[in-house]
Amino acid sequence: MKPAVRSNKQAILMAFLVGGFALWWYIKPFPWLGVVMALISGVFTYFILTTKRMERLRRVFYIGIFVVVLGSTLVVILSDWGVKGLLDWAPEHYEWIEYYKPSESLGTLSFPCARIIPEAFFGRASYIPDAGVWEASFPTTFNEMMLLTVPFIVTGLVFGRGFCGWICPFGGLNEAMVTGKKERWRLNFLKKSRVASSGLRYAGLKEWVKDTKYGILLALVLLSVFLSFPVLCIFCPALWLAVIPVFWLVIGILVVFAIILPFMTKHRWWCHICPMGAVLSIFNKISFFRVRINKDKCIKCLDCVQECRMFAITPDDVEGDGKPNANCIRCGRCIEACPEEAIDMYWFGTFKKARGLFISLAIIAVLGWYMWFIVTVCDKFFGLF
Amino acid sequence: MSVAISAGLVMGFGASLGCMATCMPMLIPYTATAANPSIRNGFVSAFTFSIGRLISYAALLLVFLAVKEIINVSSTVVATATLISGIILLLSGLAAFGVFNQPSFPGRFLCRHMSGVRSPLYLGILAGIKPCGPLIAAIAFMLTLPGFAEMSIFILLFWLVSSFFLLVIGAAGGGLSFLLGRRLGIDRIRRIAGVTMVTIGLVFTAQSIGLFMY
Repeated sequence: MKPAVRSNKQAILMAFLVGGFALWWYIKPFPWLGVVMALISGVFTYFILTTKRMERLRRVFYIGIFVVVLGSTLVVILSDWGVKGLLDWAPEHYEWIEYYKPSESLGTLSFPCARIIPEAFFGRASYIPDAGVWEASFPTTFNEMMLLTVPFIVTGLVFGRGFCGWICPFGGLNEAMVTGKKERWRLNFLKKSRVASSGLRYAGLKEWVKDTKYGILLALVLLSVFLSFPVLCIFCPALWLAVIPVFWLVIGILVVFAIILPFMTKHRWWCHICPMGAVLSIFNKISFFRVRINKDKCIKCLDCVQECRMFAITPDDVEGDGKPNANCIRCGRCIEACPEEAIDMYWFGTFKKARGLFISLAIIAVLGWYMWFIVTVCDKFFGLF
Repeated sequence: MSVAISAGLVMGFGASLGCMATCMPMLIPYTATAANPSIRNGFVSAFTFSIGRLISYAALLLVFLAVKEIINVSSTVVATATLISGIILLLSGLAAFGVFNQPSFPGRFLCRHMSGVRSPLYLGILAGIKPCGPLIAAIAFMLTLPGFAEMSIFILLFWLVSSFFLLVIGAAGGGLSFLLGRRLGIDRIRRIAGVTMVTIGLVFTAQSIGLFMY
């Protein structure tokens, strides 16, 4: 596989862009953090853009996101509340969500709230180091809706399901679990088998499995109306904890789809039931970056089909228009697997390569989205400067 | 009589948005799982559901008239109604995948019956057993009316007006499913609606277990 950029100069430029963004973004909470993040992200960007083994570095980066998000959440819960405190707080929070007034002050918050993360993204929530908490106030309903939807829409438009391959923390858990090659369970009842013209026996997903995520998305939207909660709060562990059987139901689903099945089958099953993935699958059709097969170079070895963890490339796609289906998470495994370098990431509707820019933007998006977690965990671990 | 009519209309309209929010998760997937989704079929599902609610309202009215006061519906009854609703939704969702068409499936008859065309009616009855604030207020007001005719007119109008948005949403859901079905395929829409029902059924079941526990 060729590196993501054509020359070292391009890689250095991209590294400076990413590092510059990190410096500007993180210097406000703690100046030292701005410098550290700029150095780490700049160096990492340079290496991932110039390596011929991009997939390995992507996985380190991606699993790292999961570790930071989970780590900061656990640190906050254990250091600030303890498990009992959390269990006491959850039902109160449940009632508060139900009866909150849209413009009232939220005060301080140490628990990472999905609704406030976009506020931190826009600089509307600020960290108070002395107290180790974030201060935010709920904006009016329309503003809140905009604060929630605009970052998601922009992320969806730019990355499509590339979010699931580079940015999502749950995806990081899946990615950690699919390490290795040995497929212990085949789960043939979820697959339809066929023989490609090259003679390769291929088992793709059944149609209903592909559609499951859309059904779950519709259910969550309807339940959100029914429960009078914002859809995002349905993803929040604080809400699950308020009704213990619901908590265990969600944990059970998480364990099965994000840990056991990926580990046993080496495929990312969580991404086939994820409602966020359903929204991003729709964006996949209009997002700026596309993975495509150059038909002139393709020798139809179908290595890309075998390598894909998402069943996103089928023999039909290889033999047909050369475009993966809506499940493609732009992880780049197929790009690395292709012996003829026939697959790459291109600008929408063109054959102009854009992998380097995509990766740089993904790193910038991670630095933006997970500011909450990175600042909190750095503060808790390294103390105040 | 005019008081009963105007109060029924006003209170029913006031309750209608709440009714819509409460019943939508149960009703909307049904409008998409019909063999031929259409505005008419969506309306029929919503109407059947509303008839179920009317049956429950009538039963509650008779109970309240018999004891001459508003009594709280036991939390066990509410939990049981939620559990059965969850099971019906689960079965209906599985039926959309054709699970109960297999001859080897145990309890096939019961499952097909529960998830068949009458299930919106059962769900309507179960939704009516869990009375919301506006309904309790309406029944409290109704008990102050002088005669049985006024009471009946009042509750009928309350039900009719509070069902208005449900019927509109049901018809719109059927129409939307028809349009989407033409573009994406009816089978695909049925599959998605089936998954939606299973998910909502699971959440209702878990919620009812929570209600039983506390």
